[in-house]
Amino acid sequence: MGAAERYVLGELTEEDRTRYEEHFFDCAQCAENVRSAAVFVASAKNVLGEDIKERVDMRASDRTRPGWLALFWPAPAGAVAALFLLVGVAGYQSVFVVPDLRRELARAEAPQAAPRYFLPESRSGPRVVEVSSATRIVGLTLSKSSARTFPYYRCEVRALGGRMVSSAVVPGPGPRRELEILLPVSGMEPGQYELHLAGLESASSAVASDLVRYPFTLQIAEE
Amino acid sequence: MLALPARRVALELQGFDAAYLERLRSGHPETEQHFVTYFGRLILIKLRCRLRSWPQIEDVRQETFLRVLRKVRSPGGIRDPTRLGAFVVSVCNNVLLEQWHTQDRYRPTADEPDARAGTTGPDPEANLITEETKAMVRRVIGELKDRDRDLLRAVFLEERDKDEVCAEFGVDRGYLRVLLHRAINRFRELYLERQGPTVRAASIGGGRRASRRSAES
Repeated sequence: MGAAERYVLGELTEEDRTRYEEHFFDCAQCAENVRSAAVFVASAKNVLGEDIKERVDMRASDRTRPGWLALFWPAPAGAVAALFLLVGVAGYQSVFVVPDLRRELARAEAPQAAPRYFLPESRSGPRVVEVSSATRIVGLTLSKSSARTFPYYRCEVRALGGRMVSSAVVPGPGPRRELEILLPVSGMEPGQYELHLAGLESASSAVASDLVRYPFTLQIAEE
Repeated sequence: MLALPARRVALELQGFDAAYLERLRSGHPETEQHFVTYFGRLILIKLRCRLRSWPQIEDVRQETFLRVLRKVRSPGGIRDPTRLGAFVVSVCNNVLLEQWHTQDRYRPTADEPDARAGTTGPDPEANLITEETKAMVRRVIGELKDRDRDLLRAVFLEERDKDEVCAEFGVDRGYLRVLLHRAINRFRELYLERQGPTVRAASIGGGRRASRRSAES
């Protein structure tokens, strides 16, 4: 065991790599091992990136749902979080009666490109989230650090020093999946932040559990 | 110019013998198709880490096939049919070297794909995958523990330094290799379940199963 894995992981020296290629071109079993490994790796790259792409695809998959419900179903946690983080605590009614907020919502609903980043929890250094000055939203995938899953999560973005920048209660992503957040960054200053994630048994629960911190540094490059 | 067949060909472990070579020499269509499919995929795997441009990979692949078939069909041909694979890879190496010399390109190492090759055309790796393989890999990845999935994501999607990733996850490179090995085995299980009984590519006939000359440690 190991040669095919070492080969696709790029762990062989150039000389060993050439020798191994000369071997597997002649050995059907090893050729099959390498082929399986290469297909797996190529497919895995595609599959592992799919979840990220789904979060930036603003097209609603269920068009039969009425108007505003389409923002929340299928339950892309990021769309719900984006709504809350975008309008703060303004409330659902103000979104639909205030024309300028309606226009902002239309912009948010329109397809848009969003860079995506994977945030590990705080055991490693802060991840750099680099955006251009024209970027309005970034996608953040939060690594799942706890075996427990919750039906809801409180998601808070805090600046260095603890000042809360935004907060939202979002539906959980379900078992075995990471939480995907769409974070509007157009109003944020560059600097260090922490995303605090805590589990809730219900959307209105005041008691949160299993607090996890995801530090990141926001860098904004001028276009 | 030889075109790769559009449909996938399920390949049994194949040994190459005099009968196979004779059919290839005579232009037997199914044998030619098998030859191009079987070695085309191996050449793609070999070249994808040395050339990033699909047109360049395709050029090298086509030139390799042309030279091999020209030799096969020449008087004398290839003396040892069981070494057909070795001949194909040596021709491929020569074509690759010629291309590098012609284009004054540096020779990349295993971990440094040819960054100067450019990325025009489709992603070469896209030719390795299908919706079917993606579905199976999606299932394999879904069965992994979250940490293992994160590890694979960091290595293959984010393409981070493997030592750094292993240190972050508190594992060694051996763990990563074993994880990948198990995932690939599971993928292979699902693939074989879906394929059902092995299908011979054609009435290749007479093809002996290759002896297990494994160099694996």
